[in-house]
Amino acid sequence: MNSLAYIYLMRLKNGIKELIKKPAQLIYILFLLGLIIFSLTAGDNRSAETAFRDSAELTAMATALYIVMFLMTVHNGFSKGGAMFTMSDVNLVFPAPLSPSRVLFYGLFRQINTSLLLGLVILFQYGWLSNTYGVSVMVLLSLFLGYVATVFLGQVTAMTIYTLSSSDEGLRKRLHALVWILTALLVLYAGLYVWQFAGDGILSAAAAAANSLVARCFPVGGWLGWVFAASVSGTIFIPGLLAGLAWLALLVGLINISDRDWYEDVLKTAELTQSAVVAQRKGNLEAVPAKVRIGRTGLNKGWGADTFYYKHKIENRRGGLFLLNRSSLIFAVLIIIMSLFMREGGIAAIFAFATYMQLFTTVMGRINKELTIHFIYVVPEPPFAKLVQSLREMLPGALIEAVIIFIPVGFILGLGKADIATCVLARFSFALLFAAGNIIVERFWSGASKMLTIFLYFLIMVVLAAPGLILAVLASSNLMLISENVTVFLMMAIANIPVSFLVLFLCRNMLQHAELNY
Amino acid sequence: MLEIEHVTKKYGKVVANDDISFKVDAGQIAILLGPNGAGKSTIIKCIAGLLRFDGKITIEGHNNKTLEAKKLLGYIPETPSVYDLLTVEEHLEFIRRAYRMEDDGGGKQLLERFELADKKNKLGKELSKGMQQKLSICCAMVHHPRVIIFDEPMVGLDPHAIKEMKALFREQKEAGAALLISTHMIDSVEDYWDATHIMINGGFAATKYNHPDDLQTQSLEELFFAITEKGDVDH
Repeated sequence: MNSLAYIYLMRLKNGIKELIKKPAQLIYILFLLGLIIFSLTAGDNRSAETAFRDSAELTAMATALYIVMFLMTVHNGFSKGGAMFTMSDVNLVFPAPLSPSRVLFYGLFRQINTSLLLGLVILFQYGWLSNTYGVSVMVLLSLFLGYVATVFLGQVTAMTIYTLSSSDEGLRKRLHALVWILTALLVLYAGLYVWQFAGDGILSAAAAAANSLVARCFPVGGWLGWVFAASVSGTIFIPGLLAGLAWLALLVGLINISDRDWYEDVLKTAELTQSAVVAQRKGNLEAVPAKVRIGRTGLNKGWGADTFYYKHKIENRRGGLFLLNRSSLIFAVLIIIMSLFMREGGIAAIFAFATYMQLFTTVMGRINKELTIHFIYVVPEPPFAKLVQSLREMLPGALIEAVIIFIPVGFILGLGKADIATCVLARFSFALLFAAGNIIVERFWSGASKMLTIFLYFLIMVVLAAPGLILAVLASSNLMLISENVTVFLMMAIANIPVSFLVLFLCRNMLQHAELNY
Repeated sequence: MLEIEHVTKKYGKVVANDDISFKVDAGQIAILLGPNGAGKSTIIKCIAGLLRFDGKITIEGHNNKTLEAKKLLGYIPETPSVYDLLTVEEHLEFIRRAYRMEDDGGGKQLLERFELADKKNKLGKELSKGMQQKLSICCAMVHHPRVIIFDEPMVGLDPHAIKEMKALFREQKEAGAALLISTHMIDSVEDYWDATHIMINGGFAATKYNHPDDLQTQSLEELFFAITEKGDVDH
């Protein structure tokens, strides 16, 4: 058997064997599959009379998503290249007597797996897509495949750009400028389009701009958006597919004829990927920026346990996170955009979506990194004090995040001041609750695999959120404070805050009993 | 000063440390010597209070998880753990403040000794692995611990740092500290040790003392290979 095919198949086989050996991972994957199947089957609440929103909005969103994903991946290529190879490939495959072209195809083939995994999140969107736009399973699959193809072609483009320009600063700058100019022209075009047709409504003007010929001719993201739009109307847009294939062929050809030793170019990316994997295994889910402005030095504050808080403030400043981290900001923008499309569902649907997203941002707090380094365990301070001080830095950020999201959302939905205020409070209470869930997992399962930890985290969050949800449901039918929204959000906050503090109190000796999670 | 009594640590069904007992008195250096996977790092982490275990560990009579014990302990981990976004100097300030210590100039001296003074404004992430290890050592020493545990301290260090490290061992011994050093490199422990425990499969296979009354006639190296290679043959 070809040696590269052998490595590929062996990795796949051992991955499956590993699943059987570690039932926790198997359960987690089955749980995820179950969730996908559930969302595909139970998410469809349509009836014959259901009136759907204009599918032009859906195709516009897909095209915009594809273009943004493609540009973000390509942008990475200028500094890091594409993350196609691991360090074991670099150390074992690269020195082997194999043709670089074959190694490249091996990398591309493996990259498809990664792109597929990244696209899974699309499948979870079936519920609202089906109820809002009448999306069928086939259309959802087409959206998923379009996303996978975009990410894949973005990665190959990133690698090509890096390989061609890594040793030529001038070419790198020219290519980077070209990408920025194309992006700026597209944004300018969309802006002018919306401005011109604002009379029809900003939302429909924006959708028309994203569905326009100019947007659909934009490399990769636009073409695949066009293919998706055709699939919504039940046709196959062959030119879009051919353009994608031609793009791939062009990139592979460019790498092969460039006569560049691309092994050296991917080495740096492989090292970065490796360090990111190690960092993730150690619980550090937040990437440290490549360039850090040190600024003022010295803690200058803190004594005993609160030194951790002042240290976190410095780390946040240098990490470019004044109040919100980048992922929180991206999620905030996403939620605000989603609220434009989910207006009919009311604040409850948007709040549920935002809370689901919040699960992922809360898990990235600085305490997770702290728990992987020994200092927090060995410093001679009471464990509860160290725990509270390590959580302190997240509080202002959680409040600001709630305000940033729900004031615009409130305006979009036309909510009253009391509704917005209680919504912000409820959001903040969920931040506390999620942090508490994180603490429970670390307290009892700190040595468990990351996959099991995430699985347990989700389960625990369901249990912790239950009192607030039950109270809110009971109160909404028996009590009316200003409005139903105010009642529901207030009840959730009233339950979530004490539950969070109770968890914190019960886990107060966590640092005494937890195991360092190397 | 440091006393380990019947410590057992299991990871599921795997026994990493099996009923280990030993002690290190003030002014003594004890070595944990053994091949990879013998359980040296596990017992070190148990002493540092980073792992749960069965048995008892005390530092000057205090249970190792109490604040009194933590104040007396210095721990140098196997993998250098530093904060990516703190400068070298801030690491020492952080430890000093967390341990409620006024600045006595000890941190500056440590940085000079380990040739980190000119890197004091470098971020943790900008340091090489060897420099991170040196910083890790400085962090463990800045609060003047009385019991110091080192997990493979020489790995990744340059010759100058190794020389300083050995000098540090001797100084601390003379100053009355208790030192426990885990290593798998026999050459690195030279002759400054008082007791060496050879570890195999989570337990002590032999203990050799560095004084004329010791009953073991073999050298440390001979004893080590006699034990570890016998295990291989038996296996």
